[in-house]
Amino acid sequence: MIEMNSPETFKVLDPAPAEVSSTTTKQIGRITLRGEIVDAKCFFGVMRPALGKVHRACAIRCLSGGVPAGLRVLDGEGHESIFPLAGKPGEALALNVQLARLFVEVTGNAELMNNVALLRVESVRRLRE
Amino acid sequence: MLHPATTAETIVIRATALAALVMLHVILCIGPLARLDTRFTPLLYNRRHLGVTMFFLALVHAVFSTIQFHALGDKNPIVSIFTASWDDHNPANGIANFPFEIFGAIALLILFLMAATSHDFWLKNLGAGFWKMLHLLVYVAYGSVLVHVAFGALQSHTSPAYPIALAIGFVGVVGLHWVAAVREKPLNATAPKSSPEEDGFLPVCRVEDVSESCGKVVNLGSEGADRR
Repeated sequence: MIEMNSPETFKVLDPAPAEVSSTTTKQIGRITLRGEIVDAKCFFGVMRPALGKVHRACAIRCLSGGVPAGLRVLDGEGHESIFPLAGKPGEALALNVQLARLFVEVTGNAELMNNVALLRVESVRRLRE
Repeated sequence: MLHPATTAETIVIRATALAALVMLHVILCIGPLARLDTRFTPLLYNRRHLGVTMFFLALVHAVFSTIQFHALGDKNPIVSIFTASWDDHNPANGIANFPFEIFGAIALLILFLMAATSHDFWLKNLGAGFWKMLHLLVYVAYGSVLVHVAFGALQSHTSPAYPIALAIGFVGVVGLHWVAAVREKPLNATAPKSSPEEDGFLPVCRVEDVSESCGKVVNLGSEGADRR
C-alpha cells in the first residue's frame, strides 16, 4: 500500500489483470553504482522531501522497520534512478541502517525482475562526502 | 511555489523553524540595542512576550518534526530523536551523520524553562539571581540552535544563501553585544566597588513594600531607642 499525494493522477489501466504466473528474471551483470541510500516507502510515497540530512532519522526508522532500501543514482545530467536493493538469491538484504541517506558505493549483480531493475548487493562501501 | 511537491507538514516544519530562528535573533538583539539607544527600550518591555511566542513556534516545529520523522517506527519517537543518528555515530565519519536533533531538543528544553518562568510570580519566588541565571541560558539555547541548524537543515541545501544568512545573524548578535559591552565599560569602571552598607546605607524595606503615593516611617540605628 502506498499513500498518494494526488490520487486523481493515477489511472487503473487494467481492473482485472491476469495473475502473474511466473517471475521472469534477466541477468544484467555485475556492476558498481554510487548513490544515496533511501527508503522506498518515503521516496515513492508522500514524504517530500524524502532525501537529505533532515530526513535521515526517518529513513533509519523506516529501514530498521523493514521498508525496502533503494539506491538513488544520478546520471551525468542529473536524472535520477532508483535501484531497489536486495540480498543474494535466497538471502535477505543485510544492510546497516545507519547508512541511510549517506553516499555509498554498492557492488552486486543487477537483474531485471519482471522488468524492474534491482541490485543484489554483495558489498557496500561508504564514500566520504 | 519553488517546490510544488512539498507537503503541508514540511511547510509547517520549515515555516515555524524559520520564524522561531528569526525571532530568537531579534530577541537577543533587543537587550544590547536598548542599552545602546533608549529608543529601543519599549521593545525591552515586550521581549518576554516575544520569547514565549518564539517558544510556542519552536514547540510546533518540534512536535511536527517528531511526528513526521520519528513516529510510527520501531522505536518510541522520543527515544528515536536521541538515538536515530547516534547509534552508530563515529566522529571519524565527518558531519554527515552528526546527531543534530539532540541539540534541537536541548534548546527546546531551555526555551521551555524560560517560557514557563516568564512571569513575575516566578521572578519573585525563584529570586532575582537564580531567575536571571536561568534566563541567561538563552545563550546556551542559541548555541544549540546554531548547531541544530548548521548540522541539520544546512546540510540538505547546496545554496550558499542559507549559511550566509545564518552567519549574518550570528555576527549581528555577537557584534551588538560586543559594542554594548565596550560602550558600557567606562560606566562599569566608575561604578562603586563597595556595598551599599559600606557606603553608609542601611537596608530598610523592599521597594514593593512602599505603597504608591505613600511614604514609610522607619527607625535608623538607635534613633528609636533614644525616643523611647
